[in-house]
Amino acid sequence: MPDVDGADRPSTKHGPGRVLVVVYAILAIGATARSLFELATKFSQAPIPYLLSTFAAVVYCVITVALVRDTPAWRRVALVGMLVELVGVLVVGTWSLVHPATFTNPQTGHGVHSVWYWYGLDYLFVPLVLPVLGLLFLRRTRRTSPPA
Amino acid sequence: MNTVTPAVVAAWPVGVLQPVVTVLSLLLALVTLVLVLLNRRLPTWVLPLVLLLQVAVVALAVQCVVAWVGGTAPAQPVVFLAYLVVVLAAPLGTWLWAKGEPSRWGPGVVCVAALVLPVLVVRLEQVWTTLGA
Repeated sequence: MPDVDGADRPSTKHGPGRVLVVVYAILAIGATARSLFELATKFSQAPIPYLLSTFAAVVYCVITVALVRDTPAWRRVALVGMLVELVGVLVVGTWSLVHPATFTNPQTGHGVHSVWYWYGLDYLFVPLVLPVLGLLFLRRTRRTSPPA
Repeated sequence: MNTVTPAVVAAWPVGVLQPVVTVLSLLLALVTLVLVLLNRRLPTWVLPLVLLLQVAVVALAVQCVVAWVGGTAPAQPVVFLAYLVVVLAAPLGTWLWAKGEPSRWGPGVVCVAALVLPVLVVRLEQVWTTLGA
């Protein structure tokens, strides 16, 4: 059967990838804006969590662009980005639970709810679920025939 | 006579439009979810609902901008503007992105966006009224 609906092609911007792009784009814009605001107004108060937020924002931007570009090379970029994202949310999430002092703004006494704080609690745990779905999607849409 | 600086908590200017946007958005999410479950591509008859939602978010944005010009600035202006851009782009933007997808993932795109939109409006209120940690 000819490949007409695009769902079976190893494309990262069709099929379920269409939805992934939207979710990654929303996270990318939200995280970038938030991180710019934090860096500009209160970076020195809690540099580590704010820098981690910035890092997360960059990762989301890279993955969004990679999925939309949709070439074999960008596909690898998306794969690496999602692996970094998964490790990041697990490490930062655990870190924020084990050592909350690092993620507390000493001036306000509040926890800095960066993107990966408590595994993405502020973002309804989407940051924890998204890389898993993304990696499953990339795995499922792998090229089955060897590259020519 | 407004001595309130942007760094101080501000009053949220949006009233009834917030539940209006929320209800319209959830309605759109429900309709597109059914289309996903029926394995349909995105039909054109969904467009009026998308346009209605677009008008509602534009009205919401106008209310915020009017309040801002009137002297009540949001607590986190950069974040607020970014979220506002996303909210304004969401209905028609995801419609256009979804029309390029000839499968059930077309309505899937609109469904996800319509579920996220009410959350984004809540975030709009948060970054308008508070400084965050």
